[in-house]
Amino acid sequence: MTLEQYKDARARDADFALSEEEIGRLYSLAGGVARMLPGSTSEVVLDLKPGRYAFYTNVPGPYITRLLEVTAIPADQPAEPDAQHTISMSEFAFDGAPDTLPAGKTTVNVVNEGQQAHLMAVVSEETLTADQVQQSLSGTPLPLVPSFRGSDGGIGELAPGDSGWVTLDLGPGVYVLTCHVLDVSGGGSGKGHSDLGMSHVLTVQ
Amino acid sequence: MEHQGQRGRNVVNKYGLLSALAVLTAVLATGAVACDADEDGDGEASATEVPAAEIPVVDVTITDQGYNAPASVPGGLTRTRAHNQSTLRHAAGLVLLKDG
Repeated sequence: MTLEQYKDARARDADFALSEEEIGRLYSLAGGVARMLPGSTSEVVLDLKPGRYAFYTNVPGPYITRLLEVTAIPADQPAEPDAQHTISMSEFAFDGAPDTLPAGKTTVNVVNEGQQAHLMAVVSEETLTADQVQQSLSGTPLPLVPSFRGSDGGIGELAPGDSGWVTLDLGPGVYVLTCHVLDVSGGGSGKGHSDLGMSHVLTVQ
Repeated sequence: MEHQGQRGRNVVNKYGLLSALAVLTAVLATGAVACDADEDGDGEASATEVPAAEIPVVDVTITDQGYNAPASVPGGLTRTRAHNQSTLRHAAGLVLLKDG
C-alpha cells in the first residue's frame, strides 16, 4: 500500500465510508503518541514489528502523514521499560489507573485487553477539582463546566491485544485519562468511548 | 641512522611495553566486568552482568507542514518521542500498512 493509497483510505474512513473489513485489509493500528498541545513533547515505547508504517493525526484540515520503514529486529534487544503502573483498557474503562501520581516522570504500561481499539489521552483540567470533574463525568450538573485545556499526550490507538509504555511528565493538577475512540465497532452506539464511561480522574501532587 | 634506528626501537620497545601493559589492564578490567569474583569459593564465577542495550529513540517533529522523522528504524522496542511544533494539537499515531 502506498502512502497516497493510505491517505485516500483515511479520507474515506473519516466519512465512515470504509467497513471494518476494508480497514483491516488496508492497515492496522499500532499505537503512537496521542494528540498533544502545540509546544509539547510526549513519548511512548512500542514493540514494532518490521513493516511499513505511517504517522497520522486526527486533526481537521490538511491531512499530514509520513512513512516509517521498520527494519529487522536486532538480536540484542533492550530490556522493557520499568513501569510504575499498568493500566488495562477495555470497554469502557481504565482498570488499574492510579487516582494520584507524584509530579514528574512516571512510566505506565498500557495494555488493550478489550475487543475494540482504545487509546489513552491525558487531558488537563484547569478549573474544577478532582471531585467536581468526577461528578461532571458521572452526569451530575455543576455550576461550573470542565475547561479541559487539551491533551498532554498519552498513547495512541492500540489494537486489541496490543500494548505499549507511555512516559508521563506531569505537573501538579487535575487530569483526566480518556479515550477519544468512537464506539462504531460491530454495530456500536456511535458514541465516544469517553461518553460511555471511559474516563478516569487523576490528581498529580 | 643506526642511532636513530636504535632510538626508534627503544621508543618502540618502550611504547610496546606500555601498550602491553595497557592491553593487560584492559583485559583484567574486562574480566572484572564480565565475571564476578568467586566469592563463595566454589570455583565458579557468578553470572555475567552485561549492561542492557538502550531503547533506540525516534524523534518526530510535527509542524504545520507535516512530520519530520527518520525514514527507517530497526524493529523491536522503540521509543517514539514526538515534539509538536505546529500551531495545532496533533498526534503522532502509527498504523501498519498492509500489502495489497
